[in-house]
Amino acid sequence: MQQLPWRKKKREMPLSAYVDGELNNRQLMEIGEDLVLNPKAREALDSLSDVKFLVEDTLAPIQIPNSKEVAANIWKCLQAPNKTIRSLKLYNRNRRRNSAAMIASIGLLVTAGITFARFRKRRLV
Amino acid sequence: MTLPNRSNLQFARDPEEQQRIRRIVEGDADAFANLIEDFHPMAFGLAYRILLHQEDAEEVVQDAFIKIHAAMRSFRGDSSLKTWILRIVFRLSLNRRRDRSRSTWYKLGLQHRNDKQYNAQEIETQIQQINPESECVSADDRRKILELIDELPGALREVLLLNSMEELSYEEISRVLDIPIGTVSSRIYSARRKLLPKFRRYELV
Repeated sequence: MQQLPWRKKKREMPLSAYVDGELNNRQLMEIGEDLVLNPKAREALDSLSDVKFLVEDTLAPIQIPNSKEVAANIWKCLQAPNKTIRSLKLYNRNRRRNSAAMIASIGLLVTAGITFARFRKRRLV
Repeated sequence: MTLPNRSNLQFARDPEEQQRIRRIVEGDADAFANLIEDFHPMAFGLAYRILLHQEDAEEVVQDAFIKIHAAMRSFRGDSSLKTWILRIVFRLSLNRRRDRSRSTWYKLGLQHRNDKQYNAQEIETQIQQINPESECVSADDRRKILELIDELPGALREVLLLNSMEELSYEEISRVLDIPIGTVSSRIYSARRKLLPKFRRYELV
């Protein structure tokens, strides 16, 4: 028999909190009873726990920068006058955009050069 | 079964924390460096989860600590230093995410060509280099999972991202987002329930 959605939510929400270790003793007793007696509750617990660990594994950063280096870098920024901080931040923000613009400019120059060389070969220039 | 105790919160009225704040306000470089070293991994973890981009996350965290240093004097101590810092990082990361999604480069898909995080081959190599025995999610699965998380409504996604950080309890999440604990619990459950059939469809669970 299918459960009504709000009943399902009321029943399963504590299971989700249980997966996160967020239940108090009284809630743990209640849920323990349900888990022992109800195979559907155990199934729901397994599913919610699978989702939790999959999401955690996926979202965890692959590499965390060295905190000491970061601290030194931030302190350097703070020691600099305001204008420098602002320009450092702007530099960081625009770094990728600038590099893309530079690649586009170089491409344009190369294309213009080749075109000019071809025109010259045909003695059009 | 023993469950981890995640409710041992220390709020800013903690004298040690107050002393630390006072030292930073007085210009003690070591105190601020210690603060960064203590909170940087967590702040970076949060920024990375929202932005999914190494360089962007690094920049946002750097900006956040500069702002934190400037705002330290006005810290009232209504919440713990940890939740205050995370709230700042969270807001800045969301702003960066919004700005990025508006940028032309991002819309054209050009920004991600150079982005290591989106290159399946490189992710796998990186994971293997760091932990060769890891049985982590494969890069393709990872990309699919990220897409599915991204499809969640904003409110559910935000709570789920914060919940994926082991260091944060429901109470702390509720303080970072300024919502009741019951809402945190309900949103986490709803997000997991929404993801479950999708994960099953792609045979991820």
